[in-house]
Amino acid sequence: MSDQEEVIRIIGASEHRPSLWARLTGSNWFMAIASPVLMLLLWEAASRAGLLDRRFFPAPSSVLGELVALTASGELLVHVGWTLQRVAIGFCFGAVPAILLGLVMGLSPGLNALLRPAIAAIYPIPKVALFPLIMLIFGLGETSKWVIVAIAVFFQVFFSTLAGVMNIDRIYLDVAVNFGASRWQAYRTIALPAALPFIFTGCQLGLGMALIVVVVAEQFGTKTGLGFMIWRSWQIFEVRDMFVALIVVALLGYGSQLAMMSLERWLVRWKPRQGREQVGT
Amino acid sequence: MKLLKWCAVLLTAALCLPAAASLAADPVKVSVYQSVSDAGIYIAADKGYFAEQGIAIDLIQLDSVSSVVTALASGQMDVAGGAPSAAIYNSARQGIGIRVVADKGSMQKGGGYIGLVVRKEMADKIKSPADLKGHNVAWSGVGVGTTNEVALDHLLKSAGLKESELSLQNLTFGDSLAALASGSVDAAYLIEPLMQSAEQRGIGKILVTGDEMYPNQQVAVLLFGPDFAAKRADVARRFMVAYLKGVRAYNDAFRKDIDRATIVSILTKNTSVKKPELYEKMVMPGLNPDGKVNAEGMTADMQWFLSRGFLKEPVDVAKVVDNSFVDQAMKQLGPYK
Repeated sequence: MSDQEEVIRIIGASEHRPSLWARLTGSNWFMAIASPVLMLLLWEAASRAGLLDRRFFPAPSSVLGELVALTASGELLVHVGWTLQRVAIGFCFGAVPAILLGLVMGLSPGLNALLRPAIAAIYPIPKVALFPLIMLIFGLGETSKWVIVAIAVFFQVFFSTLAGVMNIDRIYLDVAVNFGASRWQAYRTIALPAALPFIFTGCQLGLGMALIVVVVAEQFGTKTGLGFMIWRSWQIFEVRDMFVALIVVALLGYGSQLAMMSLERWLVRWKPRQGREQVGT
Repeated sequence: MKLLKWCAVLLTAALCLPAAASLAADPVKVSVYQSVSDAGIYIAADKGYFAEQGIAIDLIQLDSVSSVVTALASGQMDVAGGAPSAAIYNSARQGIGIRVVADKGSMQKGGGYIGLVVRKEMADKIKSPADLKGHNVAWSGVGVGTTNEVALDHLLKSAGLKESELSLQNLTFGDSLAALASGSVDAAYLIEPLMQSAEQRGIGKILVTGDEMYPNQQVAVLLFGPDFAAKRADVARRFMVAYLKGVRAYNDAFRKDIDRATIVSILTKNTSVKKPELYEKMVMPGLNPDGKVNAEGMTADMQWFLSRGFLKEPVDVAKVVDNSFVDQAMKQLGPYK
C-alpha cells in the first residue's frame, strides 16, 4: 500500500466525502454565478407566466437576443467603448492626485489639519448635483465628463489612502527616522506599501462611483455611451435596448471589480487571500 | 297628510338630483403640459363642457412622451397630450394599445407656433435657410426621435444642406433663447411665446416658421389609454365631444374674435404663458376644430424615424390612429363653420 492510499483511507475513515452539492455550494465561484443566474431564471419564469408585464419587463431571453443583435451590429460596442474611455480617463485624473495627496497628508499632520476640513466639507455634496456647474465651467464636451468622473473617484480613493497611511503602526516610521531614511524613502518603502490594500479598496469603490456618474453625465451633450443609450431608449420607448444597456453597465461594474481585485492580488502579494482561506477552513 | 309627506319626499329627491349627478360623474385622469396647445382641454374644463358630458376631469402634469406612454399603458392616466414622436410608434410596435384620437397642435397655415430665429447681428448674413451652413444652431430634441428632428430634416432638405454642415446644439427651448441672447448660437429653433419674445426684445429675427418648414406637420396629438378607449368607450366618446367643443371655442376666439378675452383669461390661468398681452402678438398653435390628425404626414414621419434607426420595424399608422371618437363627436356637433 502506497503512502497516498494510506492518507486517503485515513480521511475516509474520519469523515464522509462531501457531496457534489455540498462542494458546489462551498465553492465561491459557483455561489457567485448562481445568484445572478437564479435571479434571471426567476425573472424569465415570472415573465413567461405573465406575472410580469412583458411590455415593460421583457424576458431575459428576449433581452439577450437584443444584446446579441446590438453587439453584432457594432452599435453596442461603440457605446461601451465611449463609456470605458470616459471612465478610464476620468479615473486616472481622479485616482492619481487622490493617492498622492492621501500619502502626503497622511504623513504630514500640518497639511492634514489644513486641507482635511475643506475636503471633508465638499465630500458630502452629491457628485451628480455638481454636473450642471461642471458643464458651465468645462462646456458640454468630453472634458466635463472626465471631470465629473475624476471628482467622484477622487474622494473614494483619497479617503481610503489617507486611512491606510494613518493606520500605519508608528513604530515603522520611528525605525525609518532612526535609520535616517529620507522622506521619499519613507513614502516609497513604508507609506505606499502599507496603504496599498486601502488604496485598492478605494479604487474599487471609485470605479463603481465612476460608472454611476458617467451614466448620468452621458445623458447630456453627447450621442455616445451607455448613459446616452439608456436615455435615448427611454425617450423613444425602446424598452429592451434600455435593459441591454443596464445589464451591460452592471457587467462592466462587476468586471471592473474583478480586474481591480486581480491587480491587487498581483501587486499586494503579502496580503492574505480571503478566498483561499475560506476554502482551506 | 300622507299626500303632503309624499310631496316632501319627492321635492327632496328632486333637489338632490343635481348633486347626485355630479357625484356620479365619470372620473377621467388627463395629462397636460401647461402648453398653449392644451387649450382645448383647459377651455372645456373651465367652460364646463366636461361637466355637461358627465365627466369630472383630474388634470395632472407630466413632462415627457415616455412618461405619458407608461402612465397611459398602466392605466394611471386615461387621456394625455403628446408629440407623435418615435416613442408613440415604438409603444404601438410593442403591443401597447395607445390610440392617437385627435389633433392637439399642427402647423396649419398661419399656425406655425415653432420657428427658426436668427440672431440679430447675423440677420444680414443668414437671409435664407441655405445660409445656415457652418453656423451654430440650437435645436431642441435632437437625437431622441422627436417631431422637431423631422422638421429640421425638412428645413435642411429645402435648403439643400446636410445635418453635418451645421453645428447643432441640442438645447431645450428655454436654453436655446438664452444661447441666442448670449451669442453662443447664431440661430435657434424656438416655440411660442419665446419666438415672438426673441423678436420683441431685439435678440433675433424670425427666419422661417413651422408652417413654412413643414406644412401641416402633426406636432401634438390627443392620446387615449388602451383601457380607457376599449373598456370605457362611452366615457371616451363623451370626452371627445367636450374636447372638440373646447377646441372650437379656441378657434372662435382666435379666428373670429368671439369671446376672446374669456379664452385668453382661461389660458393665462392654466398655461405657462401668463401675460395676456403675449396672446396678441404670438402665433397661436393650429388646433383642428374638426379634430382629425394628419395621418398621411404621420406615416411619412414614421418612415423617417424608421430610416434613422429610432424604430426597428415599420408600424401601421392606420392602427395607431383611431378616428372613431372624432367621427362620433362630429355626428353630434357637425362640421365647424
